[in-house]
Formats: sequence, structure tokens, C-alpha cells
Amino acid sequence: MIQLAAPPWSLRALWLTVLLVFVLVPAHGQSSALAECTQTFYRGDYGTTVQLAEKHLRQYPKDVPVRILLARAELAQGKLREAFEELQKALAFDRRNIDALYYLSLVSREFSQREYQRLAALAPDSARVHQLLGEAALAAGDVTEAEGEFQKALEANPHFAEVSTELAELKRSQSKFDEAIGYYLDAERSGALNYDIAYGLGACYTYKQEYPQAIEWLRKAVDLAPDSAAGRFALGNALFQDGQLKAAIPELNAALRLEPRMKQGYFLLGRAYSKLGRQEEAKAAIKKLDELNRAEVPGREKGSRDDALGKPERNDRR
Amino acid sequence: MRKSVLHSCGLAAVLASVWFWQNSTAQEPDDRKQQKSEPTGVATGAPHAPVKDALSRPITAGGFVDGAPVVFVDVTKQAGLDSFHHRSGTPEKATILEMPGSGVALLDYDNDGWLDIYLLNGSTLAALKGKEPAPRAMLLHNNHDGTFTDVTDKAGVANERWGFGVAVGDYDNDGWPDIYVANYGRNRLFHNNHDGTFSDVAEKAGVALGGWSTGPTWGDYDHDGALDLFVPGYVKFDAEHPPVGGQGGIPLSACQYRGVSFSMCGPRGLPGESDHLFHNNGDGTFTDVSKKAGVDDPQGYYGLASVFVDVDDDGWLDLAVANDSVPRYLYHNLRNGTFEDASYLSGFALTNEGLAQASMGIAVGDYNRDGKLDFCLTTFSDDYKTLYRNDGKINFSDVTYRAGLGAPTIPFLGWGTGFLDYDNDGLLDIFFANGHVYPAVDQRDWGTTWAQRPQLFRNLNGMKFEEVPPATGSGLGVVIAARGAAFGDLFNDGHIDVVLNTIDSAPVLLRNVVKNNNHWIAFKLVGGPKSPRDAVGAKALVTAAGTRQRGDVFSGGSYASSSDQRLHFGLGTAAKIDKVEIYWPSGKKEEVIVPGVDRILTVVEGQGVVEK
Repeated sequence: MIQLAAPPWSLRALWLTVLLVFVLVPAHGQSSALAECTQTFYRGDYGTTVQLAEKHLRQYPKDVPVRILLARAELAQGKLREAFEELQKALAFDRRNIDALYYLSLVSREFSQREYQRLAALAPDSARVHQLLGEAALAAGDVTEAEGEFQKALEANPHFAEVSTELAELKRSQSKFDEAIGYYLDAERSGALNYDIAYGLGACYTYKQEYPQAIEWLRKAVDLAPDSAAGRFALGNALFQDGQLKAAIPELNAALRLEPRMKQGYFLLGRAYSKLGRQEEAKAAIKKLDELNRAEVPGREKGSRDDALGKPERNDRR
Repeated sequence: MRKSVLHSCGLAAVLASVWFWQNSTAQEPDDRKQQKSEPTGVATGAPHAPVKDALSRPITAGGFVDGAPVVFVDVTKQAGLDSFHHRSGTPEKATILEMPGSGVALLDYDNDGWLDIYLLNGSTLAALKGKEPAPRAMLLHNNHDGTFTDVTDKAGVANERWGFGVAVGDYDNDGWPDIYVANYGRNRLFHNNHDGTFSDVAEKAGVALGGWSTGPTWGDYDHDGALDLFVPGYVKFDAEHPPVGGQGGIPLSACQYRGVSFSMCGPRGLPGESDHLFHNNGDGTFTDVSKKAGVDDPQGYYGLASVFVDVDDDGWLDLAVANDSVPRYLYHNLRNGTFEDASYLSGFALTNEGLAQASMGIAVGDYNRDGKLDFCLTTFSDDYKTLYRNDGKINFSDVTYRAGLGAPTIPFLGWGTGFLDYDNDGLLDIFFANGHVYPAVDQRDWGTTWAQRPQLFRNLNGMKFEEVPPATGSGLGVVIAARGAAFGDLFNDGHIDVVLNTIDSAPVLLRNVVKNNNHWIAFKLVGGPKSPRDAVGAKALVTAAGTRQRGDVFSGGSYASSSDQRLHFGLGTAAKIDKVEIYWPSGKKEEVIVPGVDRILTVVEGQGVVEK
């Protein structure tokens, strides 16, 4: 029994040694490859980095850190497409890899800039260039600059529906509804009616409290995008404000089916039911609204604060 | 040139963000996704582009018009009000306690027929700890010659606590106005001793509270003939341990405005202070009935202003509360000592689209002369100041844009407000006192400023308003960080004047200098045995030249302030009044014969006009 008992200990030790060799040798190979690639990369020897990384990846294709380094070396050499592809491969192995996503955003930015420079060189005063500059200014929060560029785009191409819509949306976001309506109508005349135009016109007329026009446009918006909670709510709101309470209710319910946490929807639904004398349904809607508010009032219920503050209380009134 | 500028601005990053923005929004046609930054801290509106005048000044501190008619003249210095200086913590406004500022009351404390002024003061953290003298409130006696005298010491109303709200009411029905002061810390009830002095009886009366109280209101909600008291609460705030973003459960976003971090946090993210309703026992004491009455603010909302007002004309006072950054309250009086929460179903809680606003002040008046009381609310910058039309049966419609009050009010951050007929044309106009809460906005191109000019909107026809141009150098052109605002005829000349309490500065007295041939009438109402003596809650209907106007006696509203309780009516060109009907709080209705116009008359319940 004693002799029989001894071999398992020896076998176990042997087995563990073999296992360690199998585990650690590739790991060592990977870490040494990464170290080698990193050294050459930071020396600025991108060609060698690429060679080393490619050789290593043929043996260990799932080594994400080395693949990212390869992409960085290609990016440094201006090989955007190659870098892009390597980063996509890295993300295929580890889709939440933060470094891969970061460098992918850098590559995309480079792509974007390169294409812009081509466009600007080709047609420096084209409507598209001004449109892009306007969008860039808008993204940077410079509304005045954005408006100027959009205007230049329209000077270059007066029938540019996209830019008319962008200008309309900009004006709507600034509560300049009459100007916004003008641009939306220009956009509609210049191109086919789309959801953005119809919704925008409906929203503008709602704010102007000209409800028949608002309803007309919002019905078109809902036809174009039946699954838009915002469109359904806007139509329900316009109908409610116009006193068409019965017609408002299905639209508000549709909005709430699409977006069950839309507090505004319960608010108007409750009011509509109440005005129709359907008090139980009104109370149920307000109860739901109250529950959502309770969950979101900061400082009242632990655990709800971050959520409440992370959500905009007011949506874009455009 | 363009290329280099864009490169220096980081074109690549911008273009990339455009790319991502476009792609993220293209997936779903929900335009809420396109909002660039979300409201945080005290703000509720989405950022708007700066509106600037011809000299590139933000419109909040510009837009002055040379040669425009002068409506108000700043007579602060001539009147002697510049001896008062408000203080509220540090200039930087490091905590939320330093941000809201204080109210002002207009009252005739000595019953000489002329309005006096009571200005609340703030304080400092050092003063709270006893390390420096506390700033003092000031009572200014009207000398009847356009000047005022500081009588604070004699009157004993210096407060010397961090004062926020004030409401005037004759709670003991002795015919002399008393003053309730809402503080951070213990509140005061200054009982009028009839000899130019007051005694603080808050502790004895049971209304001292503690914590952080704001804009109170008096009103006889239960029809027992004695004024009851409502006191909203703002935030639970520990001055020793002010909230810090990212610590103690306070999210960083609670301390941000337009994506920029500030040391001031809240109110969102902070626990709210409760509201309190005190029932007047008729023996100089009060009982806290908040919970039983259903107005104790179980949500912990951030109350800043309140007013008792009969919104459905059933003869019982309802209650409106302006809450900062969250829905407003409207409580309907059920006539049995309790209220039902009508905030949502009435439409008052939120805007037309169901959005909450940061409400600071409440104006109440019948602007469209349909016999029903309407509301106007001041709100944060990047948001419009909201006009609610009373549609009857406790239903309100947000008619702001239709009334022309939308876009012009968006850049301003409003506090005190009131309906007033500044030109005596028989239509109620609207005044907004403005000023920001973040001094640092002056360092940014956000189109808004710390100090702002007030705004006056003229009622054109009972439906539409138009901003009165701020004449260069006039009272509408003062650029100040205003907070409390009270309205009244300080000079007994038939014109409504305005007093503004300005944070960290001297107050501003705007004297109404409108010259026209319009007539007017004003009534001081005195309640009978079954009504509050100061007639708070009474309403008067005045018919002249075929039009009927409504006026109500309130205590509170605006922001943390209390206005002239005499009822003032502009009559336009009408030199004769056809009918005056008064609905007293007791339930009695009385028709009054008036001897003429352009005068202030005292009307006693059951006795008609008793004196000029």
C-alpha cells in the first residue's frame, strides 16, 4: 500500500511540471514578444515592430496586446487601412478591449481628417465642405460659426435639403420657430419629405401653439417612422393641446409602449383621462408618473441618485 | 487660413465627434438623442446659443435702447436705500447656501398709509460660527417725501440670521401687520407691537422650525378667520459639512453646469427639506398640520416660493409652491382641512410637454381678464419663463410661446416676479427680476451673465405680451444680481413701483415714472370679524368702461417676497367706475360705491368705503 501510494505523489509532481511548462512557455513567449515589440516601437523602428509582431502573431494569433502594438506601428507609418483591420481583429478576440477601441477611434479620426482634406482640396468652396465645417462647429458648440457655414453651404447649393434641415434644427433648438419653419419648408421643397422635416415642422407649430398645422405634420412624421416614441408623443401632445383628447390617448399610449419610462407621456395621458372624466385611468397614469419621479428624485432614495442625475429631466425641446 | 484655424482648434477631434454623433443619431429618429448636454445641478433647460446685442454684449446685460420711453428710474440713492448692503457668503458662491439670496417686503408697519420697506439680509459661514458680526436686515420707514429712514434698531427686526423669505400677515387680527421671516436656521415671527417695534414670538408661537426655509405665505385655508402659515423648505444642508461632488453619495453631475464642474452642488443630488403648514390656533400659537393636510412635501422637493390662492374660485384658498429643478406643487383645498395634490392633473407641475423646470418665483393675476387667476413662473437660464392660463376647473395651459414670453426670456435666470399694471391701461403686465447663480458665467461665452437686467413685458391685448425696451440708463437698464422683488405704490401716486433685493449688493428701488392720462383706483381692504383683518384671500372685481378686472389680496409669491396688499387697478381712459364687487374671505359678497377715481380708498367689510 505504501509503495502504491508513493508513485501518485511523484506522478503528480511530474504532471504539474509538464503543465507549468505548457502554460508558462507560451506565456513567456508572448510576454517576451510584447516586450521586444514595445522596445522597437518606442525606438521608432516601426518596420521591425511590424515584422516581429507579424511573426509572433502567426504563432499566437490571439495575442491581443501584440496585435494592438502592430496596429499602432502601422498607424505610425500612415498605413491606416492596415491598422484599422488589425484593430478590428483585436476586437474580434476581445470586443471590450479599451486600448483597441481607443486606437480605433484614433484611426477613424485620421481617416476622417484625410477624407476631409481630400474634399477640401478638391472643392474648397463646395456646399459639402461648408456643411462639414458647419457640423464640426456645431459639435464644438459654436452655433454662430455653424450657422455661418450652413449659410455658405446654401449659397453654394440653394437646394441642399440636408443643410436646410440642419439649419432648421439649429433654429428650432434656439426656439426661433418661424425661422426654423422656413428652413424646413425649403428642405421639403428641395428633397423628399422625411421624418426629420415632418417632426421638426410639427414641433415648431406645437411650440407656436398652432395645433392644426402641428397635427398635420406630426401625422406625417408618425407615418414615416411609426416606431418613434418621440413622434408618437409629439402627436399625442399636439392633439391634447388642441382639445382632441380621445385622439391623443392612443398616440400617448403608443409612445409609452415604445418608451415605458417617458414621464411626459404619463403626465399628458393622466391629464387627458382626467379631462374626459376617466378618473381611475387618470390616477393610474399619474401613479406611474409618481413612481418614476420617486425613483429619480435625487437625495431621497439611496441608489437612485446617479440614475436620476444621469437622465435629462428635460428633453430637447426642438 | 481656414485650414490652419481649424487645425489649431482640433479639427480632427471635432470631425470625429461629428462622425460619431451622426451615426449614433441616424439609427433612431428620436431627436432627444441629439441633445448635446444634459441639465445638471440647478439647470433644467438645454443650452441655447448666446443672444447678443449690437455691441456683442450678452442680451442679459445689454440690449439697451437709446431714446426708448423711460418706465422706471433707479432712485435707490435718493431714497436712502443704498445704506443697505446684502451679503451672501463668498463672492464665488462656493455652496448652495450662498446662491438663492433674500426677499423683500412692502408693508405699512405703522399704519400711516404709506408703504415701508423690509429688506432681508443673508449671512456668511463665519457669521454663523460667531466669528464675525452677522449681516442685518433693514426696515426702512417711508418719510412720505420720496425718502426712507432706517428704523431697524428701534423696530427690533435685524434678524441677524441667514434670511431668505418674508411674508406679511396680520396673524392676530389686531389691525397691525406682522412679519414672518424664513431663515437658514430658526425662523422669526415678528409680532407688531403697534408702537413701531416688533417682538420675535416664533418660538412661543411654534413656528420657528429650523433647517432651511424659503418663501412663506399667509392665508386662511380653513375659513376660521385667522391667517395660517405655509413655509416651504429648500435643501437639507449642513454648513459644517457642505456637499462635495463625488463624496457622500453626491454625484459629480450635481455639481456641474453646462458640463463644467463647480464647487457649488445641488439642489439636485441633495436631500430636500420638508414643507410645513401651520394652523393658527387663534391664541398666538400654531399647530403643524402639514402631514394631516397633505402638504408636507413627501417627495422632498426643493421649495423656493409659495402662495395661497383660490384657483377655482370656490372661496377656499388653494396653495401653489414653486420648486427648484423638479415639478411644482398645486394643492387643491378640499374644504375639510386637507388638500389634494392637483399638481399633475392641473398641468401646473410641468410645462406643456411634461417637462420640469427650476421654478424660483410665482406671479398670480388675471392677465386675460376672464375672471380666473393665472400664473407666471420664473425659471433658470436656458429655459423660458412660463405663463399658465387658467382654463377653469383646476386646469392650466402653458401658453408661454403664444403669449410671446418664450424666446425673450430664455437667456435670463428669473427670481422675483409679479403681475402689475405699470401703465394703468387696465391690463396686467409682467415683471421679472433676474440674476444668475454662478458668478463664473461671466468668464464664459454662454450668453448669460451673473448680473442681469430686469425684464418688463407689456400686456398688449390680454393674450400677447411684448418686452418693454430697456431704455439706456433707465431702471430697466440696471444690471444687477436680483433676487427678491416686491411691487407696490410706494409714493401713493397711482403708479406701481418695484423694490429688488440684490445679492451681495445694495437693493434697487425702481420708481415708476410713466406719464400718461390713464386713471386708476386702489383699495385697502379691511376684513370683518369672520375674515382675516388684512383681508388676505379677498378678491375684488372692478368694472369700468365695459371691462371687468380682478384683483386679489395675497401674502407671499414672487420670490421669497411680499408685495403691497392694497389692490391697484389701472382704468385706462375710464374716469368712472361702474361697479366694484368684493368677495371677502368670510364668504360675504359686497358691492361698493366709490366716489371717484385716482385715489386710494379703504373698504371695511360690511361698511363699504370708510375713508379716502
